[in-house]
Amino acid sequence: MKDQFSHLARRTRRWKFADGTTELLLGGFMLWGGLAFNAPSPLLTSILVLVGMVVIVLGVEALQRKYVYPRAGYVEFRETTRRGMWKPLLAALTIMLAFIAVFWWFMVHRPDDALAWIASFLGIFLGLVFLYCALAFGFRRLAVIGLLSLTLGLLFSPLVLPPEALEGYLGIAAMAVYFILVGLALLVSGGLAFRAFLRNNPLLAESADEP
Amino acid sequence: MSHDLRAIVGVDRLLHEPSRALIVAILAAVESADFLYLQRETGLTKGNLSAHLSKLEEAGYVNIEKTYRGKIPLTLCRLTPEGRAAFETYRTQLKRFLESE
Repeated sequence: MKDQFSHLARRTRRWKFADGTTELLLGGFMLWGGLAFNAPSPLLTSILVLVGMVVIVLGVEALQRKYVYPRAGYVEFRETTRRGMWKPLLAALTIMLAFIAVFWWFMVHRPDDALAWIASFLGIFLGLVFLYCALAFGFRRLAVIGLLSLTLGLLFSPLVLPPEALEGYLGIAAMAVYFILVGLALLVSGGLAFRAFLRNNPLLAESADEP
Repeated sequence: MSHDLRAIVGVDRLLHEPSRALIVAILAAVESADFLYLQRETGLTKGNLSAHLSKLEEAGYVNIEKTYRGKIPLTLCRLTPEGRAAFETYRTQLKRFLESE
């Protein structure tokens, strides 16, 4: 039986997504990653991605310190216990193994198409992850992102586009476009959630931290 | 009277108070939370929340750490292992009582 205490625990756990900063962080990573794909060399891409990630993490942390914690307080979430981990781990492992099996099949039977499928695999995999998070935490906006990711994953597959449109560099470009579009969607979703959070959680008139 | 029904008599009186049960239930779901978060979530006044937290701290159920985040004072509250165990027992007893026929 799910009691009110379970409901309260779920409500507290979903708090980490309520202010939209998690989406801003992820969206920043994906958008920056997508843009950095166009750098002239793989080494430069890696450096740009790493530096960008550090800047984005610091930026989101500053945003939380300045706007989130003074309004809604600070919560440190518990590490997931081994008992609570096995279900999502099993789901992630199953999906990953399925993708590896399909990819392996392509590498063996149709090696020329393998690269063309990367963007598609990524879109479907991340789409399923977003849909799982939407169900687990009860946020519809994550389901929209999940559906967008799935749609892009299917759209960027050689089943829809002609294989020559996804060959070689074009396959990488499709992945970059995927990252940019999903990154933008996450930023918009996170931005809207953040705006609603600020509206619904005004600053208290005085410091409320000290008892 | 069944054993399950009689179990309600033995519940932890410190936790069997709505505000304190709420505070402990929130803390049970996290590693730690600050005073402001608890105040927002429980809807209690500062004085009330402070009094309940003191009682829970005296009983050894809650650990209160006064620290700073930058220059801003921060009061972090977390359940002790004893507090977590007491809450689980209380929750089980309450559930058994409500489900007993």
